[in-house]
Amino acid sequence: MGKTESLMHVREIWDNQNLTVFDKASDISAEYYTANLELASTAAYIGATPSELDALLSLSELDDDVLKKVSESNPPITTWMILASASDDEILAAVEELKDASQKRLTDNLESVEERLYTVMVQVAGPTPEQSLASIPCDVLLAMSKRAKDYKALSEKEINFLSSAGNYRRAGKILTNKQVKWVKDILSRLADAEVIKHNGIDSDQAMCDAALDALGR
Amino acid sequence: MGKRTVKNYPSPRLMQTIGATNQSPSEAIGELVANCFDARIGENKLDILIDLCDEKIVVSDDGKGMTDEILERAVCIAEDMSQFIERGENAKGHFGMGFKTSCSTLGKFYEIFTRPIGSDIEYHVSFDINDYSQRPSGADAWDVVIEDGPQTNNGPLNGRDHGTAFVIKSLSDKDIRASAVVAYLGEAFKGHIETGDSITVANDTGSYPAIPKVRAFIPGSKVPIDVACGPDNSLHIKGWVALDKQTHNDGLYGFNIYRHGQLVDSWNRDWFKSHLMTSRIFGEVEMDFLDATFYKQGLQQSEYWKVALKYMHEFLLPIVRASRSISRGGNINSPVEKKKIISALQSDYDIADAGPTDDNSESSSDDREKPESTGRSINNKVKTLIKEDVLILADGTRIPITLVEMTSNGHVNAPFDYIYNDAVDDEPMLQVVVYTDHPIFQGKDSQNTIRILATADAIFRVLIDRHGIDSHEAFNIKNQWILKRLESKDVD
Repeated sequence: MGKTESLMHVREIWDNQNLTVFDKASDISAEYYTANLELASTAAYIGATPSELDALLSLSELDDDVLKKVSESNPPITTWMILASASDDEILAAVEELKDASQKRLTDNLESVEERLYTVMVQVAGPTPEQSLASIPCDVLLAMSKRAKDYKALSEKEINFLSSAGNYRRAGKILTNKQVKWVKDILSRLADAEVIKHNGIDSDQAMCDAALDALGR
Repeated sequence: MGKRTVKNYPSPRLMQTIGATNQSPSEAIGELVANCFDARIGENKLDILIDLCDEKIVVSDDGKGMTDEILERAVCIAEDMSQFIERGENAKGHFGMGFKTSCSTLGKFYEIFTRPIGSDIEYHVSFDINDYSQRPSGADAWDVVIEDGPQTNNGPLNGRDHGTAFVIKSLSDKDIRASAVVAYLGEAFKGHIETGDSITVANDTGSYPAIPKVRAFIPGSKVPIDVACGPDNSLHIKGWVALDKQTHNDGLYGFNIYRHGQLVDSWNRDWFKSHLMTSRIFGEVEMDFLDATFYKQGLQQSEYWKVALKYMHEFLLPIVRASRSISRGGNINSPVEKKKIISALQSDYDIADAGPTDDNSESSSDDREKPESTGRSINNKVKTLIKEDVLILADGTRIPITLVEMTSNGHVNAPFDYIYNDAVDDEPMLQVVVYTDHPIFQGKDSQNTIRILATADAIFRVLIDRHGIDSHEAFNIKNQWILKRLESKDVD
């Protein structure tokens, strides 16, 4: 089968409203990869956006049994991308959430099904490093400032920043995006330099573990 | 007119003020460790233990210990110990201030226990800084009491036939990070450790040997240094310099300078212009001809140093040039360019190609950054998902919008795109997808502005592609939505 025939076949499958997500993902990915098609031109040909087609192709990378469960819940196209990004456990939690999703569609004030799925999956996955760092305990930041000072591993400005960020947290405030970005950069460098590491030998090991956990390391 | 002589006794408060240094605990302990090396017996290897347990610091060695006469000199302020010990000019201690300064930095009370080799006597001296602070000035204000007695089995030298132990109590920092001490001593006494001396740090969790750190350099970039300069080429500089695989904006680059095997200056960058482009340069040199200040932090600006500075500035020009070239325009990620630069460097220094895997320099075979995670998880790809303002068309059609920020990993060659749910059975839903790994976002910080622009773009396209609306009308609707959006929420 030539590329033109493959493109026509892909469009036929994409437009078929009676196929399940499982069938669409399996059949289109088989055709797409066999014919060595290109994303942007294929998407344009079938009347989809590149992201829409990419979402379906990404779903096809899931294990068959997981994809079947996803398919049975008939997820809207706007959930495909986030489902395809998730782990099996996160997907299964999302599928459970999808079972009663039809009664809770988006209004101005209610959460959309996409938001709810994302929330459920993040709960299973745990928070992102940025989310964890925004609410990192003040004691952890102060301990990291002390370590950096002991190791002479950071500039004085950075050491002082960690202390001030710790005091900011002590006041109960969540770190701003800019603060989180800097904290993440600093702690990452301390981790790279092994100033903070798991299974260390110091009395502040719990603080080191907390900092590394927040970084997702 | 007349004149008289005033007795000039330094105030005993000096014992307290000499402790007001900027030494870190690790550096102060390092100074005590340096003294241990001056007590080496012949060419015997030393076993040095730093015990941080029980809210005190004990630094002990199995050196030759101090005789009564040596100890008398050692406890005096500013006595040049190199005049009295076997190692003479090669001694690390010259100024007679090291252990007093360091002990006073570490704590308010310290003791010396010493067992001279070939003797069954143990000497003991203690210094109470608070006591010194209260002593009146005078000829006897600096008196030190040296006790002697038979060796006991319950002191800090227990288990050692000879040697010296410093014990510091009433610590200034009661929570010293043993790992920082281990790391510092591994660097500071690298040469000694590599030739068989042993330095161990113990705390409540166990005992840990000080081990020099292994660094990752660009293969083939390591240049040996073995040069002589100055009068009659008497100033010998020996070591190496190499290019780190990464640039440093943390200041941790330059030269570690050693004198008689002890680190006397870290990250020295006097020999080349300090800049991000030159921040790959890392080296170690032994410069035994240098003087060191009594606390061995920072080099004295001696004539010898000035001669070495001029010489090393010239010597390093090729590797400085290589560091700049390799840091420019993505050359670090181009095997071809990198090979050219390293070949030129090797030619400049007339050294052979070290091959693809340089000595102790490689931890992995490529220069790519480590992936954040190899496992699939929502957090690895999706950064956030939020609800945007709903779009209401003139005919009353409501189009709710969500925006997802995620990585594309190169699949979709666009900074943003959309996914639209127009299934018959469903309410329409527009999902804006922002691909945060697109080059347009590198170095940008106006997240809110980007979200608005991406949403506006998706609105524009969906109106045309899916609703058949004329592009001019779609353009107006999009712009009106942007204005409304700007009124409803602040932009960064």
